[in-house]
Amino acid sequence: MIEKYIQEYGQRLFHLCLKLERNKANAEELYQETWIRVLKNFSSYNAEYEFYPWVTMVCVNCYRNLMKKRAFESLFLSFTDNETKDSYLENISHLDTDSFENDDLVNALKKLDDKLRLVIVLFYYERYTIDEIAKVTGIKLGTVKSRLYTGRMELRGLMENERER
Amino acid sequence: MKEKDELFDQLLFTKFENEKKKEMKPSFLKVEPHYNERMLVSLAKEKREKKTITFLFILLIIMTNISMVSVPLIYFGVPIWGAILITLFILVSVLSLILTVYGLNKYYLIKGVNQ
Repeated sequence: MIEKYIQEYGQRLFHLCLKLERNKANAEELYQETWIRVLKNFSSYNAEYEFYPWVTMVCVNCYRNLMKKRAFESLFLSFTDNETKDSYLENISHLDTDSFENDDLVNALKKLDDKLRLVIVLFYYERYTIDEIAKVTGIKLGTVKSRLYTGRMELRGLMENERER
Repeated sequence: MKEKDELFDQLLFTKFENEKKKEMKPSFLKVEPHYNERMLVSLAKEKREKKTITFLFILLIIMTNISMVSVPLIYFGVPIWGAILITLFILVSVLSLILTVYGLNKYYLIKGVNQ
């Protein structure tokens, strides 16, 4: 049953994961986590509605959980000896260079804050309305609007920086 | 200013649309691996097992610490309530110390990245 949906929406969902995450490995983790969650909660899906918005909602929830998990894990990552820490600091600027595109938009998007990127991707890439984003993410309408505004401003600055390089 | 904003808005829509078109090309990026139900079930099981093992491991460490403190105390004649109190005090102190070190470490790391 689920194979049919993976076949139909897998590629699209994977590209959404790539837009939400900073690198391919994280995007693959998010993609896998989303389908596992879909399998677990498939009984709660109402077939009267479209599948993709539902799977987007699952993906966004997984994304937020993974963000929390990674923030917690980074605490342990920082508990290292000075040598490891210095090499980590040296390499941190290269962490997001595992890119598959060299477009100014994609690069600027990766530098954007996670919360802002989520709203920007859903609005411009997935073409959801502000109301729909509020529903999908469970964020208040006003917060979505302000994040969209801030995200747009920051993205503009980042894209200009990318172009100047 | 508003016009500029609208223009940028339009630019973003166009750029994302171009991205979508690029992604539609069969040569662009294939999703690997292609999941199926059986694969997902086994992955979910694996993750659940990993979580249980981590939880049990943490529990084991805490229990070992408690026993290492309380058993000698009881052996040397300290009453049970006293042993429990001292054990709790030591546990809380050790945890606070670890958290402080984590916090300082994290602060250094964030400061270092921002510099």
